[in-house]
Amino acid sequence: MRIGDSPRLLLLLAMADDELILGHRHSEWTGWVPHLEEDLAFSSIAQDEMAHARLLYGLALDSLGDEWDEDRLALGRPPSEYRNAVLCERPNRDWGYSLARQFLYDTADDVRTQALLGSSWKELTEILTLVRMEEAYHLDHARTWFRRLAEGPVAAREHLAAGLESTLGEALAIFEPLPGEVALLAAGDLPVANSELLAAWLAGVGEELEAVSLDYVLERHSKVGDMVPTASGEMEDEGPTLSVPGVERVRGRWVHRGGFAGAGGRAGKHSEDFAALWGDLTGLYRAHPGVTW
Amino acid sequence: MEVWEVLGKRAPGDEWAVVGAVKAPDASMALLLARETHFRHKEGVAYAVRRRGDAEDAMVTGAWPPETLGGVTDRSYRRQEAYAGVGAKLKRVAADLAARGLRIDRPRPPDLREGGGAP
Repeated sequence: MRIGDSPRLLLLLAMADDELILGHRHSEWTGWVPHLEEDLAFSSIAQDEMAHARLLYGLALDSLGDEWDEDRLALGRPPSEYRNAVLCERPNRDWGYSLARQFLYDTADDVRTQALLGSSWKELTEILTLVRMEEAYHLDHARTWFRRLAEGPVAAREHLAAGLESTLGEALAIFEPLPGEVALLAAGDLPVANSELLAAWLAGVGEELEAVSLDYVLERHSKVGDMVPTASGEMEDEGPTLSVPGVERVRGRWVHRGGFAGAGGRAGKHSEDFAALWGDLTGLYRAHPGVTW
Repeated sequence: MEVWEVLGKRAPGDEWAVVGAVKAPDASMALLLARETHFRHKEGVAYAVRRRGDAEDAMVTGAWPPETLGGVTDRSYRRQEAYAGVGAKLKRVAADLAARGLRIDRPRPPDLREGGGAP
């Protein structure tokens, strides 16, 4: 049974699935972070993200039938019904990559949740007010590490820069337009269009990258543009890839040019990395539906 | 890497007390990690760090307010409760199985430690 495609539900799933899937990736660091205290810190962030996903799934249940619960929303959907951005599902690679991703994701999430505080959907704004209290800490963590790695030693800076280069295109796709976005905007559920959120985020991240002389990452993206590869799924007629806007510096400010084409995570199209993650994440639930222990 | 003592206050009127230590390269990282390793579960309302060996008053206090220190969302899902009452659970399952004429006993693995007795 399909979960449905009401615009409100897809807005919630985009955010909740981002948090769940990135939280899962973060949690894979548990026991492997290069530094014991940081291992605890990063694991805690992973748990926060899953708690946030749970709150949003709880709100989604209001519009779903009795056969749905939080576990089923988190673990009982086929891969094509997950609406997370592809960025969140990529394997962790190294610490530089994971921190670059955390920095880009949490700054984007900050822009998104800040804007949604102005939503006409009161239950959502209440949840996001709570969530943002914890996300403030994630941002502090991301920025503390971002500055530290950016300031060197050289190897640390190189790992961070390589991580930023590989994640930037997919980070832009956090702002891929949602299916039903026009209706969400008209209803005031989404007070600001994703294209405007992207502009706000890019301007801020551009300044932060310039402050540590890593804005060449943006310059490189502007030269090559970017295609976000996704696995071929059952919706092949929509094209196998999502292409994201380019970026350029105009009057001292980083802006995007062009729009999105094709379909990515927000339309349920995922990368080849998602299948293995989904298998790990949902295996127990699928093998023993409804199990308690 | 330097060792930083972690200090905290359980309640607003309390004196600062040392609650542990973290390794960190500088004060800002020490504060970040102290918050996470010692104040994650509502253990206090204020926190600070001090480089080991520094003067008593060379404390750097953390910026997070008491309302958000320790988190604000429901984390009950993190509690591992499956092992609570495991002895009683085992007895219940064993009794269920015995009623069906089954046993869940199996030989203990050999003790391979030096000087370990025969099983």
